Amino acid sequence: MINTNLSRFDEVRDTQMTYRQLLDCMARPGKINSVSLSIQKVDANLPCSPRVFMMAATLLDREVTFHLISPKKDEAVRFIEWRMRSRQEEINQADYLFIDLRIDPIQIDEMMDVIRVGTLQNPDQSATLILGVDDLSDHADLPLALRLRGPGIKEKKELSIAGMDPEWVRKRRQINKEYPTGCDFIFITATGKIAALPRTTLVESEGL
Amino acid sequence: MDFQLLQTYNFAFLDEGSKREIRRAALKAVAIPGYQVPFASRELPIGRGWGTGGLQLTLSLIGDGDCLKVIDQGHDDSVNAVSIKKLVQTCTRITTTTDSEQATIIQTRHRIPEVSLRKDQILVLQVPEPEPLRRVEPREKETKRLHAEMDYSSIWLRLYEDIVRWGKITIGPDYPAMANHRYIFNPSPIPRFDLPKLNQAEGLYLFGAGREKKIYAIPPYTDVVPLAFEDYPFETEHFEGCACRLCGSTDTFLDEIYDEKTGEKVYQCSDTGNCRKRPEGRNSNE
Repeated sequence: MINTNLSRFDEVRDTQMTYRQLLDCMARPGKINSVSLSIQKVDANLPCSPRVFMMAATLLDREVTFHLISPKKDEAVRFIEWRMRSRQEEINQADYLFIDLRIDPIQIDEMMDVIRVGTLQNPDQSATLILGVDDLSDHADLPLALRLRGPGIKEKKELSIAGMDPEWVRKRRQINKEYPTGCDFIFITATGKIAALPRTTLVESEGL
Repeated sequence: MDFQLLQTYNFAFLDEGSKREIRRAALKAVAIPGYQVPFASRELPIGRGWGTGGLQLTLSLIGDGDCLKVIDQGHDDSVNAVSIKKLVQTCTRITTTTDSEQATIIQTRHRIPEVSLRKDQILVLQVPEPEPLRRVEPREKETKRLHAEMDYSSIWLRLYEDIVRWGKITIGPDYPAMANHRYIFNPSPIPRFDLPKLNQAEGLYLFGAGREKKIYAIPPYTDVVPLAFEDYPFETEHFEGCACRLCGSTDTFLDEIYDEKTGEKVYQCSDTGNCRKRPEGRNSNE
């Protein structure tokens, strides 16, 4: 039995609030919202990080599958499977991919080459990537500065990210080439700042 | 034994698994504007076809601090709107309003409020028929293929035939439009008057079809172009020379009704919440 103390985390209300922030992020790509109040309620000693727990609690159940790349992976996967009743699947099958660890560009390439992007008939059967990053800002003051255009954005929007390999953006562009197929990104920091890049967003960036 | 039940239903009526599924579908819908995402559509204490798609979206969205407005053909006071509002209020204890500017979530059937949606507001539309191509193709499998291949010639032909036969496009409400230059979608039976409000809007529009089990969305700042021909441009309903008999408004969508005593034809604002807020020209004997 895995011992968990989640008494402060309200599965009904905290996931609802997280979802609303997430929906707003998805509707307004690059907009940074906060779920810090809910994240603070999650026990820091869980096998997975509080941010992974928050997003998993909001999105996962037995109807969908996930794949987790994180420290203490086996323990964390077992915990999420037990807690959310979701199953871990191979990268090329998973509905939700949680990357809570810095991985190198080769691993990113291998991963992005096989993830689900949906089909032209069912573009919704695609993977959503939840990426743990160090920081998010709506000015160009962090290492990876992106300029965004597309639905949900009035003209242009700035988003800059710390702790994310530029390879993600390069690969994203490649696999999102044939709209409407593609994958959607969610970024989350340890303190609970979140932002999203749905497949419709066009990303410009210097140095890419 | 004497029990005091703390809670009889889950918060927002639906169980957490149902809400999560609807939420996942809505997130996908926002990421692919105009694409109809299938979902399982739960049983609710109202019949399918009575706004269950919209209601399920509302229930999956709503939380403490939200303020809900429900409208039916512009009215706050019709039976369906009142019942839905009461149901949501009973199982969430959120506040409700008839003022569209105070609401954070507005569930609606057949109208978009006159006052434009703000950034912090979500409009949930109840959809009877989500498939725009159903007018020309009865098979779901086939319409899915047509969307996939962006083969929209059959609906264009339907519009062309309308012009040949009637001299104009005969689709009134639920006028098909193109979302983000990719998917043709049905905006639910809103009048043509409301359709331009979806284009490059500030707020988020979510569409739920409970009977047809589909969810789709128009995110803010998205191009929504009504289907039309260069020489037969898109036209909205217009009300030249007519004014609301209650508030005197000439720039809102008007309902044509008959005075029950005199049998005379009169006009009245369809958006009752907005009409009540406009004092100018209002008769004192109302």
